[in-house]
Amino acid sequence: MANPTPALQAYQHKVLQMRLSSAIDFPAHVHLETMAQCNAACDFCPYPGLVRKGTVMDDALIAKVVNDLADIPRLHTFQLSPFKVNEPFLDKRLFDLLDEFTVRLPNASLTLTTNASPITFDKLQRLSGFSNIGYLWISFNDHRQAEYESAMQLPYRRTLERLQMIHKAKAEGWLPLRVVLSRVGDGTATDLAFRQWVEMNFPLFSASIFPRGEWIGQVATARTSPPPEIGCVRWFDVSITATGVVAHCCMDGAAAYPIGNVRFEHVLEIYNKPEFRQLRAATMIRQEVDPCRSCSFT
Amino acid sequence: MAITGIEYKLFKLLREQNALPLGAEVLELGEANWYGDVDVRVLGQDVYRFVPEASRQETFRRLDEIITTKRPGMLFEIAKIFWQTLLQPRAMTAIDFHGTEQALKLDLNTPIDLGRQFQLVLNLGTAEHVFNVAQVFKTIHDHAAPGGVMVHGLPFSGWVDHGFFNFNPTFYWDLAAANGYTVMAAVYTELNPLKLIQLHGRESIIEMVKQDQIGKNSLIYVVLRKAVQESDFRIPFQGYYANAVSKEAADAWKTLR
Repeated sequence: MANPTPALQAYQHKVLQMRLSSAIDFPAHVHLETMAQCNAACDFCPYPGLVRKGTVMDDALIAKVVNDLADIPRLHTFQLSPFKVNEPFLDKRLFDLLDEFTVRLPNASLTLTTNASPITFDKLQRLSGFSNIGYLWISFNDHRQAEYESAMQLPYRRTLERLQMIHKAKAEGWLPLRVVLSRVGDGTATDLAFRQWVEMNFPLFSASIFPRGEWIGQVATARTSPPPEIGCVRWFDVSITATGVVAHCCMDGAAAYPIGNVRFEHVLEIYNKPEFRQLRAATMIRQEVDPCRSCSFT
Repeated sequence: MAITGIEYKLFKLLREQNALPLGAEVLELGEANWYGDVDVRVLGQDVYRFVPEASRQETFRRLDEIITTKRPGMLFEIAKIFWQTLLQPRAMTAIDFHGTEQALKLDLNTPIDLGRQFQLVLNLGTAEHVFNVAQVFKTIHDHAAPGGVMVHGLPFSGWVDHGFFNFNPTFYWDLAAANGYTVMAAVYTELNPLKLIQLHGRESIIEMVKQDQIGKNSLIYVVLRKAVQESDFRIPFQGYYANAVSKEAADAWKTLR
């Protein structure tokens, strides 16, 4: 085993610290895919091949999940992301759901990842009314028009206009939440160029370069190094798909490795199933378990 | 009598160093309540660090229930969770005229006999409010089991009219010398902003005075271990007059004025 880098050591330390926290009993992060629909078709995402594409989680099931999450002690703060493999702003219920989460789950920090193209001025104004939104993460991926449109299958001009509108709102001071422009990096000079482009054009946003993932075999990618011999913070997540099936983790986009179904089981019951809990409580490195042994996510 | 950031940090450090008896019978002079300068979520996470696995979720949920229902007396209840987290006491007995219904309403100015001894006795912000302070320290001595631990946390500088007394470092070292206590730890503290400085001996404070590092309102916390051999309480003679202090301390006695 090669010596892990300082970054990987820090990651492993975080995993071990989470073991000694309330996240051992209650999820640190819940993904709730209210609707399996996206307007993009990114080449780094499993969405284009998703079997459940178009599935909408019914209101009753969402209410049941919220009830389950309300059983988490208020003392335990967690992250709630109302999406999984989808574009959350396409769901017309989004803001009503954010309202309900705010009232029923005051210990949840809401986080949104989007491609930004469906964010209209009205939606942005509504979004600005929530003080419990941890961040707005915009998957932008390429600052060059041709490459952007090739990677995401979305019109570059429209997205750029959305970014300008959001940045203006921040500049005017009425959108206090943190905004991140992210790129699925390829390790080339383009990663740095992207970061510089963000700093130059959208100084009030942060830039993030995220390594391309293979989504545990669900997206083709050229692997450059073996998975690191460390644990995983995603063992502390619950990743609920629009069908109600709970995927193994956020990387299990297709829910090919299900750990339960919120339609029939309580969220906390699923989270604390012995085999899943064992990951959090006693597994040191991901190579010890499937499907994690092949995953490079950090 | 409150669990402030000082108590929180100090007792957590002591727990991490296994310097406190776990599962002990504990006597509190002054029933502790929760001061509120430490985020209760920090305590919640420490439940998961220190409470045995079998009862940590239950303890966490109990703390959650306390802060959610916000009933009268909740600050005492949170303090109980704090002690449960760091000490897991077998039983706690408190003496306090202003505590909960369970606290014993006894006058610490007078001799007290609870009929048993405790492995841990806490005097956190209490003795300074009792005029007959010698009796308080005798009561603590008498109720500490042989080899038991006594923790004092009392005003040192400032705290004008907070209580009858402030306590100098020599008080603790002379108390320890007279009664054969081991000084396990001594810490200079300030509450706002939070500051804890370990005192390696009675001379440490002299250096701090010379460096003008004594704050307007400070406290000294001392952890003492009673000797294994039981003995009657002895009122100390001040170390300087007993020629029991170092030359540095004796010189400071003459010059720091």
